Formats: sequence, structure tokens, C-alpha cells
Amino acid sequence: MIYLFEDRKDRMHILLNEKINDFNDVLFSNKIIDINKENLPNFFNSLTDLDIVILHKSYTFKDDNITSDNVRDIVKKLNKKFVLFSGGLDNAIIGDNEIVLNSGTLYKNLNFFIQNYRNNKEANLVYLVFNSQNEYLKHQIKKLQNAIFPNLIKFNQENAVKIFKQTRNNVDNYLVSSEFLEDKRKLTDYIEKKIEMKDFNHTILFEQIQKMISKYENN
Amino acid sequence: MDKYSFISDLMKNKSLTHSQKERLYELIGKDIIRNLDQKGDNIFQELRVIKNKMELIERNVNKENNNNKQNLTKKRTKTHNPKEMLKFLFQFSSQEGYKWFTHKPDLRIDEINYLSKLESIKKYKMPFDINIATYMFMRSFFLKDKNSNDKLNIFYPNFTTELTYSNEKILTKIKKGINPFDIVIDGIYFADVINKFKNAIEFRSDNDKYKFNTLFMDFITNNLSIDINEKYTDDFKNNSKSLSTYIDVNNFFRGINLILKEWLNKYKSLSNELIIDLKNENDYYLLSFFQKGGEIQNKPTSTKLNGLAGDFNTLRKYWFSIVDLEIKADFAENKKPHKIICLNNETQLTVNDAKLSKNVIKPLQDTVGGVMYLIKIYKNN
Repeated sequence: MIYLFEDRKDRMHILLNEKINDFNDVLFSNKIIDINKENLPNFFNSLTDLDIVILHKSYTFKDDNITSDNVRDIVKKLNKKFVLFSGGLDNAIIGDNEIVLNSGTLYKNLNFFIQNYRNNKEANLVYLVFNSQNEYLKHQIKKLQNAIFPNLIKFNQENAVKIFKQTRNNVDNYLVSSEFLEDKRKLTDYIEKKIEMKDFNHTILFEQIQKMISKYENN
Repeated sequence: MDKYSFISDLMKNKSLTHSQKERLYELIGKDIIRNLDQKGDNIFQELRVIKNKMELIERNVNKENNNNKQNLTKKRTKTHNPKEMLKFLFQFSSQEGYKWFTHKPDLRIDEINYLSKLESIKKYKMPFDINIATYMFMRSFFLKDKNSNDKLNIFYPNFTTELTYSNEKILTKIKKGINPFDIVIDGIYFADVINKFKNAIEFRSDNDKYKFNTLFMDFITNNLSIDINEKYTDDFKNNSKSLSTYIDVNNFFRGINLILKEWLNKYKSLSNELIIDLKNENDYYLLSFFQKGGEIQNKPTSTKLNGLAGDFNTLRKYWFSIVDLEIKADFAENKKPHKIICLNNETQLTVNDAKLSKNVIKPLQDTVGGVMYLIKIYKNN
């Protein structure tokens, strides 16, 4: 079951075109977090059918000592999925079993996400933003390209260490899906080795990255 | 009226001051004791009661004065309190009254009166223990007065602008009913300024460019000597992706900059191995720099490790009420391991002379094997 904690019901109805009742079999939106902070773990523990929590970032809790981070920590400890949304969030960022995204994006894609959850009994948070897992992988590749290629163009022997280190960091930070794990390890090990040996050939580095990227781009 | 009645009436006279009554008691007391009769004994008892009362009043007055003095001293001494900063920043981004300055309203649903919200910001008072730099930075975004800077200055990623909510051009547009997020002045989108501001009061997780892992790792790459080989632990890589908390990002990076340039880079000859780690605890993230093989000098004649002068003092002031700081190291002189507690909940700053309390140095049992900087970044909870 998906539990949606939204205190701006007017926004929810407008952005969902009144479709909330279509999701009644898998989504519960009438529960309110009206307990004190010390009872928060029990509150979520008692939701025995809980799979996913969707929470408004500035949700008005009855106990104002509660923050969205408290809820996030509890949900993650329960090994459940956590969605945080707000009108003030710029982009969607997908992490391990969690996602932060703009309210507009959430409500736009909620129907697609729920259909997938209903049919496959699996909650893939990627579907709150992308139409397929592959689209998400390509998105990460694109972000990586945008981050590293402008640096590689500026390469010279004086800034070589910095550019190699930046490339290593960007590979680590932008390729977050488990699908990349093995390729990412190989690539960062290669860069680390070059930094240690002070052997900086940016053309070979560029080829290495392109080789890895093309594997996913052509899928 | 006999002499005893006269004395008794005199002692009850409210127009006599406390010291006059005491003086009178001293002068007549011995005479009464010498010529004690029944009446004299009674009045002597009466005098003792009055004296006891006077002493009690005096004790209470002294106690009250001492309390006032203590309160006054207390009020002038700030206590390091990063959680107070967190609460302060949190409401500017999340509370209904303040959040709309950084939060684009959905015009189909939200009707925001920015002018009245700006008025209410003027009434906001600074929490006492907060870092003055944090307060000034916040204020500079909303108001122009003696307690704010003329411009909004962001240390990292470096950015300066005059376009704030108190800027005349911005105010004119708001008065015309234009939403701040739609204002463009000389080709500059005010929404971009707002975005930079909100990423300077919070490590956010919704923008790749400003995410903690991107910002932090870029900062290290750009400011750490290229001779130092930094390695990030797996815990760092995992936890830094989702680190999000309200914090004075400016002063956080000012402090990191000082550690890199004044300590790690300058003493790279001792060691070029640097391990950077990030643990995720219940209430905080623990960021650490471990310079393997490094050591700290603690000459008997030097007062450097007290933390009251030089870089140490500057760093502690940058991070006062921002993050906790502790350093673990083997001392160069005797190789003995110690920890230096630089900022924790017992650290104080006197407001009048801007003096911090001293670092607390404690011996450790196990060798550190280098110098370890431990930085506690508090979470929103």
C-alpha cells in the first residue's frame, strides 16, 4: 500500500484532476500524522501493509518537533520506499529506495507509477519521473557527459591532476544506478591508477568513457 | 514616652534607611544590654527581630543582584549551538510565513502577499546563540539596514549580487504585483538569485550542481594541493549522495578552505595521504579528514592549541554554532595521542570582546597514526 501524506488537498485535487479515488485500492491519502514525535516509529510500524510513503516536504505535523527527515529515517529503517515532494524542489533526484521531486512531477506521473505498482506489485520509483528504466540510465549518462566533457576540452598538463580527479568524482556522483556498478568501478580504478602514476593522457581517458557510454546509449 | 518606646518607634520608622537602622542598632545595642531590665529585654528582642528581618532582606537583595549579574553575564556569552542555527534556517525555508521567499508559488493555488511577508520579516529577532555571520547573511537577503550587508555575498560557489528582496528595482516590481520568481532585471533572473540563496542555507538534494557530494568534492579538487592524494571511502560515496540539511553553507566552506590551505596543504611534506570519510549517525553526519602520518606540534612554550589566536581562532569563529569540531592527533614532541575539542556544546563566545573559551585537550589511549579532523554536521531532526 502507498501512503500519501499531503496537507494541501486543494493542490492534490487540482493537479490530479480529481482522480485520487481511482487509486483507492493501492493508495491511502486520508491518514494524518497527528501523533507526538516519540510515537512516530510506532505510527509507521503499525501500518502493516506499508510499501511506500509519499510525504510533502513542509507537511504540517501536529508535533512541530517532527521533521520530514524523521519520517524518512524511520521509513528507510523499515526498508520501505520514501518519496519526498515539494513545490520548491527543482529537479528529481533518485537515490537508494528514495526520491525527491517537485509536486508537479509527482502528480503528473502518479497515475503511471501506480499502474506499474498495481500490475507488477513492485514499486519502481524511477517511474515517478521516467517512462522506463532505460530512459533513466540514459539520463544519467547525459548528465555525466555534460559534467565531464567541458572539462576534458580544457585539458593541459598543468590542470591534468584536477581534471582527472574531477572526472573520477563525476563518474562516482552521476552514475548512481546499480546497472553501472561494474563499469563504474573499472573506470574509476583506471583513473585512480593514472593519478597515482601521474600518467595523464586525456585522449585515452575520453575513449574509455565513450566506450562505456556507448554500451548504454545503444540499448 | 520612655527611651525604649522611643527606640522601638524609631526602628519601625520606614523613612530610616537600611544602613541608618543598622548604625542605630550598633549604637544602642550595647547600652541596652548593659542596662537590661524587663522592658529593655523586650525591646532587645524586638530589635533582634528587626535586625534578622533586615539581614534577610539584605540577603535577598544580594541574591537578586547576583542573579541579575549572572543573567547579564549569561546573556553576553553565547553557547555554541548548531541546532539553534538549524532551527533558524529551517523556518526561512519551510514555515508558511517565510518559505514563499525561496519557494515558487503555484499561481493556480497560492496567493502570496510578498509585501506583508517582508514586513513580518522585519520583526524577526535573531536567536541569541546563532553565528552573527549566518544572521547577517540571512538578513542581507531581505532587508537593508545597519544589521545587514549591502550585497548578498555567497562564498562558494562564489557569487555576489545587489539584487535582493530589499533592492529598489525588485521592490518596485513586487509592488506592481509581479511574482518575485518572474522578475528579470538587466537580464538577470531573480529566480536564479533565489536559487543561489536557498542553496547557501541548505545542502539540498534536488539539484546536481548544488548537491553536497558535487559541491564538496569539487571544492576539495580545486583547493587541495595536487600533491595530496585524497581518497573517498565507500561510506563517503554512499552517504554524501543523500546528505541534506539546513546549514550556513558559506561558513561551512570558509572553514573547510582554511583546513585545506593552512593545515593540509602547508604540512603536505609530513604526509600526502588523505582519507575523507562520512558517517551517517542518528542525529548528525560525521565528516572526517584523516591525514595519515601527520602530526601536530605542541611546544610547551606555545599557546597555539588553546585555539584563541591565529588560524585556530578564525576557524572556530567560522564554525561557531555551525558544526562541531574535534581534532585527534599524535603530538610531534612526545608522539602521545591527544584529542582537541574545539567546538562542542560547552564552547562559549563572549559577545563584548568576541573571545572564545579555550580548546579542551585530553590525552587518548590509542595512537591516532596521523591527524584526524572530525566535523559533526547536524541533521534537520
